[in-house]
Amino acid sequence: MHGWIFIKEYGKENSNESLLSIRLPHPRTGQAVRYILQDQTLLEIRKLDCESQRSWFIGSTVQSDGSLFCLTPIDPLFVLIPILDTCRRKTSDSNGLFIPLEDILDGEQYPSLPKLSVLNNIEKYVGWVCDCQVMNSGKVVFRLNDEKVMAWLKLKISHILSNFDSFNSLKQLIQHMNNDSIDDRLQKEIRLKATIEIVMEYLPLLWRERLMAVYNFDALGRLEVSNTQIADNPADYYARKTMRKEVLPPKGPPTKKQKLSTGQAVLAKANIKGMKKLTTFFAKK
Amino acid sequence: MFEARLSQGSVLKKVLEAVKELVTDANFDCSETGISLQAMDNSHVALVSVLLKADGFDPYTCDRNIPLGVNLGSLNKILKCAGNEDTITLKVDDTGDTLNLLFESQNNDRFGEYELKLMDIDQEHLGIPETEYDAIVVLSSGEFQRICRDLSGISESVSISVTKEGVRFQAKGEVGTGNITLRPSSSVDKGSESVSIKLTSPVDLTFSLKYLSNFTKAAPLSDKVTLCMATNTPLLVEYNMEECALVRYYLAPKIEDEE
Repeated sequence: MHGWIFIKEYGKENSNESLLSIRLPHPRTGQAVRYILQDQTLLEIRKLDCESQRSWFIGSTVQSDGSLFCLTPIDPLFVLIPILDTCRRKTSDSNGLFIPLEDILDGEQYPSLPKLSVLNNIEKYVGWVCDCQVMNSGKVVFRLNDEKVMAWLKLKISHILSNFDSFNSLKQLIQHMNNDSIDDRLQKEIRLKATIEIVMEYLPLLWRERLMAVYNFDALGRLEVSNTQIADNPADYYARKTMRKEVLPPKGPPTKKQKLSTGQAVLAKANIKGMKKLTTFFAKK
Repeated sequence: MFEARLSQGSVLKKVLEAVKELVTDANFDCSETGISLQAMDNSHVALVSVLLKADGFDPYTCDRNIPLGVNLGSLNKILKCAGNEDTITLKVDDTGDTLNLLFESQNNDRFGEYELKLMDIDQEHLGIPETEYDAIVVLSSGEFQRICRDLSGISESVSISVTKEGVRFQAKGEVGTGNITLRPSSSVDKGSESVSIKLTSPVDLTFSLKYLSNFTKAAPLSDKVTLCMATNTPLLVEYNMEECALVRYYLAPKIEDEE
């Protein structure tokens, strides 16, 4: 039998509710991604995989898939903002339509979308980023408001920034830029940019551009572009990590270096510029 | 079972001397028709193809196709132990993990027995199509060797242009230039020194002199060398010992304007 191994924060109340796996569009890429619903909370899944080099021992059985799934709560507004954005059908001369929540969460494209309506305080959250109107029937209708989204994002960023030093993973991101020779102003901007990059992993690029325009990156702008890219892009950080991994010496005995004959040694120095490989002339059998 | 006896052992010695300068390890593919080898140099811009015809051996037995993977340097060390006039017998038993070599002196009074460990070599094999060449030049192998040696001092590469009037080897380097023109000779009495040109359309191609010089290591195999050329096609340099061995080199031309 095949199972998955999850790790999850232990809730305040020990819940017996089973995990519900749902598929929703990723807010940045739009591709279908799996999320977990439990206790009226939306959880994001991260798969930790050691290139299939691990297995799990479960009881007296072995499960060959040794990957570990990490479940962490995610703010459902991230998932909802792109959906709200499409729903309002904003045009150049109209701010778009007000729509009731159940229509926003209609499951035509993503059958799991209506399930989000069970989330804790979902109407309140949506109200943070939307204009709301109460219909005569008592029904509440919503329309995404760009300014409210920006205010909500700024709040998120300032919240992370104020707790920046308590997150080791964040500190690591800017570690090599973190020394006394850098002045305070630049230091702040580096932290700000790193924070924005992390938050913007979860929204379409458009929002990132809007957000970057709001903040001031004067000091950082003066730095060399290459430096800042390494410093503030989490993707680059991970790329560098993998690169470091690759240069580790290969396992096993090193391959014996072939001894070249005199003729081969001469040819090794030959200038073969402009010479195509013979495989371009003759097909492999 | 594979067994092949070669009364002119020197042929095998010469072939090895030629091939080992281009390739480190290669498979000798033994089949009914003979022993063949195809391999590319490290840069994959040159290829050598060798055929030792079954007719050149007496006797020649090969009941199934077997590849003999050898390190050419090691095989060459063993073949150096054979005298030039020795008869060489190659034998592989059914396990196919060693090649047995037997060297018999001409007077049948000295026998050398050697064993070479074989290895598994995974080599790509290229299919070389029949090509209609624009120009085929036959000249003395010694002359070709000298031209390559002389021009190597001047430049890294040589342009070979063939017209009805003759074949011209031209090298341009930092120190100056060198030009050698050979005219086709009609006189029969000059024998191996004569140059013959078969031309369908004039060609002018550039090649690396280091590679051409490498190929001339096969000169002891034959008095004559054949150069076959066509635009945008690898050069074919062929050393043919009619009765038993054929060594062919292919070399990619240098294309200057592709930067």
